Amino acid sequence: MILRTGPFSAQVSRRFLWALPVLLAAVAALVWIAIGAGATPTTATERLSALRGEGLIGDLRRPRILVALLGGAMTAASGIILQTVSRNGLADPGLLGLSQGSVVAILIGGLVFGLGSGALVWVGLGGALAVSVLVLGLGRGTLAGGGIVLVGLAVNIVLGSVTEIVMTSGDATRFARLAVWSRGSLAGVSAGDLRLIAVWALVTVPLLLALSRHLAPLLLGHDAARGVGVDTRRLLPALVLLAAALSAPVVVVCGPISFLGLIAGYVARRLVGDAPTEVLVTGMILGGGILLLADTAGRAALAPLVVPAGLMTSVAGVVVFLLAIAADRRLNR
Amino acid sequence: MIRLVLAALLLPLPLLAKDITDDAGFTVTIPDDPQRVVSLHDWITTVMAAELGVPLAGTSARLRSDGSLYVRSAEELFGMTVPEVPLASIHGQTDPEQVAALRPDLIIGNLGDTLDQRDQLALVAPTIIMDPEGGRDPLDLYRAFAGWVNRSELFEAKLAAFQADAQGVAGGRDLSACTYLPVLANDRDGTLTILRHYGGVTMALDTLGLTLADAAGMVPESQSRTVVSAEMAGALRADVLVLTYLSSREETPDTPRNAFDRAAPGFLQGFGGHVMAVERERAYPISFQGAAEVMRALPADIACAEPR
Repeated sequence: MILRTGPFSAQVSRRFLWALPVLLAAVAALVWIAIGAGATPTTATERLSALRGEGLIGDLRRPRILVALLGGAMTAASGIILQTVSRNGLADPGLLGLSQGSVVAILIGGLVFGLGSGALVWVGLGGALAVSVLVLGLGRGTLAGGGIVLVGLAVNIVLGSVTEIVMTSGDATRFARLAVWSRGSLAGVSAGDLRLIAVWALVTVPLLLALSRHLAPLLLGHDAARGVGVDTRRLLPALVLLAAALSAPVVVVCGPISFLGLIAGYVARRLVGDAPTEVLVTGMILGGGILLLADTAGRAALAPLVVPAGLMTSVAGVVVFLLAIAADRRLNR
Repeated sequence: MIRLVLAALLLPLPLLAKDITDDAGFTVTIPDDPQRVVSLHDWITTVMAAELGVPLAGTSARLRSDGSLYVRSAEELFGMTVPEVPLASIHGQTDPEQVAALRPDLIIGNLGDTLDQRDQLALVAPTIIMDPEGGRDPLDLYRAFAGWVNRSELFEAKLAAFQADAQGVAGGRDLSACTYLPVLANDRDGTLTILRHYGGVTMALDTLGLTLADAAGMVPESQSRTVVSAEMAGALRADVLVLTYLSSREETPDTPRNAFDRAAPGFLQGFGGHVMAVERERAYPISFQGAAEVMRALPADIACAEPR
């Protein structure tokens, strides 16, 4: 189906046209639930005030909700880019080690060099990039099929050990501080964190949407993409850099949120098919919604217990991971 | 002119407040005499608040394995329970909204568990961060806390009584030649945690006149503890080795001894000095009551010719 508005036109699938408003409505409903969920009961009027950022409830809940939406969308987009570049639906910044690369770099930057959160994004970006080059290089060059995931898992294990060493080599205070963040949590999110994430989203998301039209040929394979005129030597590094830039600020603010890219990409493809731009847009809305749901459930469902959002997405992610593997098996029979 | 006079009359009374610099380096304006304090570290700040009679609007607490809540150490030392004092958070899982619901006029947390949420908590009420593991003497920490909550006079009175009590316990003995060392043995990973400052243990044994053993020099200046391999056990020379156990986890005085035997086999058998095991819930917090109990647990026959 082709949509036309004035001089602009875009080809979109019917499934996407159905899914988009439904998902947006679901996310809006989630935002309404999240702004009302918490230790303080709120009326509809108070929820509206809080959404405008008014009052203590607005000060506390609104940044957290917006960071969940933006951070979830950015992490999902990062995963979907990696899935396209590696041509593997199981790729995810957490699973391939990009998030853990950011974690290690951020720990070293923060603890050894005492850098602030603004500088730590760049350090985290460097860590994610280094790992992505390593994993994509090794995975593509030496192993076929799911090899890239295996390499990612191996790198993840090594970097996880480095993280443990850094965390336990300090005092008890350092360990306690890092323990929550390293599990992926929005508990410490403030208005300053929201500003940091929003700035990075403003830079990366338009770039992503601009590049997304080049993603479709990559699904045919890199050789085939070159055959239809795509300059893969430039496009692939640019996409990997973008995937890292989408993931790193989220890691700085929330810690690593695993499996979100995998879940969002998998569900998005089930909903709208394989058209990359549609998958990206759908996946980003899903990613934001899933992280918001995980954070809201984690802070409100078991109160006064607080479960970090990263743990919630990991549990959901394992289920989707197994479903994805089972679906791949059925397709390959 | 009339407007100026009216404006002056309508101005609110000056709030009694003071500026302090907390252990995280923040300058915080706090009420001179806080009436609704939320304490976010049960066995450090809640214990101090309980001993000094600070009006608590809420405290952090821990979950027992059966799902019930308890305020570690404040329950053992002062019988404090939740909900007698309202729950502010599960330990280490602070929800600023739950804290806000308690309408505090002062929030006191600790560096490890609270710093990352300080910005949010500061929206609720003035928030002070204490660093109990930063290598400062427990009495200094306690004195600073007493100042924050307008209990300095009471603190000094309790300190004087505690010092007088210590003189009675010492009974004229000169214990300055005796050395002590608090150690935790971790049999799961074969390490030993050496402690330079350990709450009530430090308060008690320092006040009695004992000296911290040289092995405590392994702990960096800015920290209160360090972890070393159990192979370093041979370097632990002291007249009194202080071990602790958690009674809330159904541990007994034998538990730390057994852990030591597994981590460093044979060390305790060959250790020439005294080994005392005290209940961590009573000995770790910074409190005069817990410290007094540690003083009384010191072996009566202790006598040291020269520092070990």
